[in-house]
Amino acid sequence: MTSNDSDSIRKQMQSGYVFKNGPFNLSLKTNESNVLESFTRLYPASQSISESEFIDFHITIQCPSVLRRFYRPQIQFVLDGISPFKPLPRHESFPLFEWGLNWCVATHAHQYFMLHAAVLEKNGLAVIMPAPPGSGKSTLCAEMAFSGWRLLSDEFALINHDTLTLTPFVRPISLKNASIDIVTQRHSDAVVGSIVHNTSKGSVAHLRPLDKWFSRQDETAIPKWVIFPRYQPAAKIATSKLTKAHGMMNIISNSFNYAELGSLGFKLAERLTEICDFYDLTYSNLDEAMDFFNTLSASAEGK
Amino acid sequence: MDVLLTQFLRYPAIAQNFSIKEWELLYRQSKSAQLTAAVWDLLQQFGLTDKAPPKAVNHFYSQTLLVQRQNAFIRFELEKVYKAIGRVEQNIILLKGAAYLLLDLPFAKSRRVADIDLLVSKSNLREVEKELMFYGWIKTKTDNYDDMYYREWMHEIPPLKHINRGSVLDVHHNILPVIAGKAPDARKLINQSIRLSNHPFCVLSPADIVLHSACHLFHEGEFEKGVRDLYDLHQLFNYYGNNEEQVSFWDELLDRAIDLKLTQPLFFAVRYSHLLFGTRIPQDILQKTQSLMANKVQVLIYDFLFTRIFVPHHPSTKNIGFSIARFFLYWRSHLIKMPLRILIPHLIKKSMKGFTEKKAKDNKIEV
Repeated sequence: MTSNDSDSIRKQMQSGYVFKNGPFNLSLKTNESNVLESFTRLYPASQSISESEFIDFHITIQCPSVLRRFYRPQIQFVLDGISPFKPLPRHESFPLFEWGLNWCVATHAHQYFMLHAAVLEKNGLAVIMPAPPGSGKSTLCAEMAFSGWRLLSDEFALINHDTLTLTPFVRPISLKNASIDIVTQRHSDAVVGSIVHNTSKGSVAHLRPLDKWFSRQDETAIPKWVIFPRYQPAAKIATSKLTKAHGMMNIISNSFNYAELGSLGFKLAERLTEICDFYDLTYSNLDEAMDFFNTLSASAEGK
Repeated sequence: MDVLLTQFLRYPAIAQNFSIKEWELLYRQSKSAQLTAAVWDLLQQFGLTDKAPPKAVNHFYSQTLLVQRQNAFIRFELEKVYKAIGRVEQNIILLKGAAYLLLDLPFAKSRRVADIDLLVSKSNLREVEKELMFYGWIKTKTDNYDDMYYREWMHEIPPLKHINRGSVLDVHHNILPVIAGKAPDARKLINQSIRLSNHPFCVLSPADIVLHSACHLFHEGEFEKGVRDLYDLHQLFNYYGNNEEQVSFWDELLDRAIDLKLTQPLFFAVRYSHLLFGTRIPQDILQKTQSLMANKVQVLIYDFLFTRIFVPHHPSTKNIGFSIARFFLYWRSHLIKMPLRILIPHLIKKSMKGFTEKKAKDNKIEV
């Protein structure tokens, strides 16, 4: 981003900067320098849109009160006049924006069947990686996104109800603790925002996806594999194919809105299970893990 | 009043010519008023859904889905409630949302029911509470003062929340706080109640349903759901007032209000529903309820306050008139809820608690 662009975005954020992110249009209003700095560092200026568009989420990041600007400074997330979360320490303002936006999507976008998962694509076919925190999902996702796989999302599989295709929702990848160093050491071109310490998730830093992944956000992908990764120190790579029944249960437990969708949720999980292969992946070495993903992709190409 | 949401509720056809930004505002205002599903329902009735931009459709669809899910949950919880207390209370009277839902009123399918409100006779209250606790509905306010406040002065016991499933029950023994001295004789309400044909519950008579809805709204101090609650009244008037089986509805309603001394809330209900939504109210009802009001100046003051408070509480509608109305209506609600000799110590006690305890904002999520 040129300094002109970032100055212009900073200025617009005083009254609400409008931009497109994945299938959503957002307005972000804030004076917080942490948010302004991280945002201009981690999002491309090309996502800016006209104010006359339909805005899905009106977000404000602000101090809860004048007092909290100075005494034990705090920051709060406001969605269109409503503040759904308890305030956080002020230095966590950028992660708060990212987490708050995740919450907005997870609780509003029921036109999708949503899984908490990273999504990456090669040759039109996508890997869905649902996993609990600590499983190394984001590290793997970052590695893939810098090694020839197209990033669709680090957090959300947005699945179309009719076609089951995956809609990209490209956002900075949230790296935690040790994975921050691992990723920056392996990829000298990686742009990482400032590290925020002592959050509820430990130390957090966001990694900027390649600009080309941002610019391909209108291209959907077809789900093909669902991989459940597990990082285990010093382990040799081990993969095992899972039964469809096991896979379907895992899809359901990683869904944001299975219950909200009712019987439709069950049908969607079933249809997704039919077209996907499921694997458990235990790894410690990222190169070995990448070999596994590239072999998967090549095997589909051969058919 | 140039609020987009209320204009739309009154004249849905205006959506025909909405710009993208107007659709966005309609969604945002309806969401803050908890009327998204109702708006979507109206758009469907008027065949206007194809005028809505895809992004608006997504939001209305999502919110409607959530309402349907919640109401299915409420129906499930009602079965559990019956299982818990059907044995000790023969006449479990459902109030408000739960009643509209099981009565299958036309607007109930797009109206979100948050909590289950029940009315039981005061003599059965202890027994009912004991059984509910046995089945997992536990008091949420454990503080002794709060407990006393509810039991001695209010018309309900402290809210009960299910330990596993999280459903909330408000168990009433009257429809207005007893301390105010304006509460009707609850036996009169129970005597007129009607047994549902397809569920093991009762509901109030149509006139009492309306009066309760009006009491509830116009004794409230916080009007966050004000537009929604007034829209409920509009829908109830439409349903019962235009029903061929209920030809005597309006006369019964007025007689009942006089009998229960609830003519003031009824006056407010017909007046503001008519003003805001153009509800069809017979002319003589509008006149008679007004003639029962003390004086004209009072009516002018109330008009000033209520016309400003019945807006979605959304950043796009807040202005100075709104703030003034909110301030006065908040204090009015306290003054009519309890006499000053009780109100003043109560407010002091409450504010002291605010200083000594960290106020738990329990509805906020920790990230």
